[in-house]
Amino acid sequence: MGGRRVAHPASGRRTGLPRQAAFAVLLVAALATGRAVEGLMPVDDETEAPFERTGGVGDRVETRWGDVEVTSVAGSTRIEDPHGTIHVTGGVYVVVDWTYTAAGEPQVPTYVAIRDAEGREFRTSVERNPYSSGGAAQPGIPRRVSAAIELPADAVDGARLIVTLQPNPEDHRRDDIAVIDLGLTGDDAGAWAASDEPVEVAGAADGPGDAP
Amino acid sequence: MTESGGRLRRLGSRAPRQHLPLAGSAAGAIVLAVLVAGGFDPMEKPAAEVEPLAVGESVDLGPFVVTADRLRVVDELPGVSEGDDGTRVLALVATVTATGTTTQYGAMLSESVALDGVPGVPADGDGPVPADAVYVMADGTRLDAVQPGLEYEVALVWEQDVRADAPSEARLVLVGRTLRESSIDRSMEWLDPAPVVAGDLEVTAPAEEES
Repeated sequence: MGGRRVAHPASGRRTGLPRQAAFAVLLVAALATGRAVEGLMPVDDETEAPFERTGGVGDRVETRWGDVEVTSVAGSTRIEDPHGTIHVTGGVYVVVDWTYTAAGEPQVPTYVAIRDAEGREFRTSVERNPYSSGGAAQPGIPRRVSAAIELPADAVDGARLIVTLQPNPEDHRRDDIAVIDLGLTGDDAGAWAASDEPVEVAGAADGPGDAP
Repeated sequence: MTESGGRLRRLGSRAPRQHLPLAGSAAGAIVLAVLVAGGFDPMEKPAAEVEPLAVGESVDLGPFVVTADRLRVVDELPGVSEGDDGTRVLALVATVTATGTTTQYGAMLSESVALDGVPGVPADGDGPVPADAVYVMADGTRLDAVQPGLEYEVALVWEQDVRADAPSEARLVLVGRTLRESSIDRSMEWLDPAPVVAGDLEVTAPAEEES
């Protein structure tokens, strides 16, 4: 027994270095495997994509956070914003009137944009591309809003309105976004690019408004 | 008792020797893994070369392409130093386009165009002074969003204290950015602002334009 106890540590020292080296190799292999699996999984593109709720002009598009209904679309090279300032574009201003009804709790749709057929997104701003949500809309009470966005004339054909809550596109993952086909064509683009009649952009207001 | 005590002494003396190769192997594995993943980023990247400015020549700043046209003194601009006898306005007339597929905001544009060393143009710290604001020449309204696919003729403006002489020449600095993944939230952003083009521009006075 005593002889075995003396011999055993010597045997352990002989096998210790290969075991540590094996540990290091396994650790690197595990890290490399994890990295390869992460690269192969469609995490960024598919599992994090937002849920697009689609419709057309006049459709009530339902989302997790409320309903969106586009009531009218107009265009020109000029707009008059809610403060009475005239804006002139070298492209086309598309002015969308729409109604938003919050679901469950007061909500503010802050991301409003037009997406063209190529996937380019043209967002609203404060002055040049006027849109005001009017603050948080109470659930169940329709909020009438307008958004005017300038874009190149070649972006009008097939343009869609995009509306969702979070201002940062990185935060749209796995959330609902309303995607509404505005029913626009190249003819609309041509007519609006030749028009210098200002289109009025209305401020936000509560209530159903006048029937179209 | 004796056998038990001997066993304890042996374990106590072997423990550091066992942990040393283990820690060394782990450290080596970590260094190897970092090297496999791309290595350590240097803390300081070499400064990019600043090219000379040429009037009328397009400069790719990353999010924008900017073409500087002329720099002029304006007595007053609607909304900027309007009715203010204490300041005058220096305005760079330029054309701007956004390069990407999404809207870029005017704040980033004004931060990308700066004047360097002009007396009476206040700076927050050392170095070039970004433009105070950007206006669209066609209608005089503020450009707070640059839409992709459109070309804008704009005026980038700086207020100058009238107690300083209006400059006859000013050094313009154009600042570029790189589109890369943010280390904070992994989103793609235009980061790492750095001067890419700089040079002196003649400043036109209002009286010279009228004559």
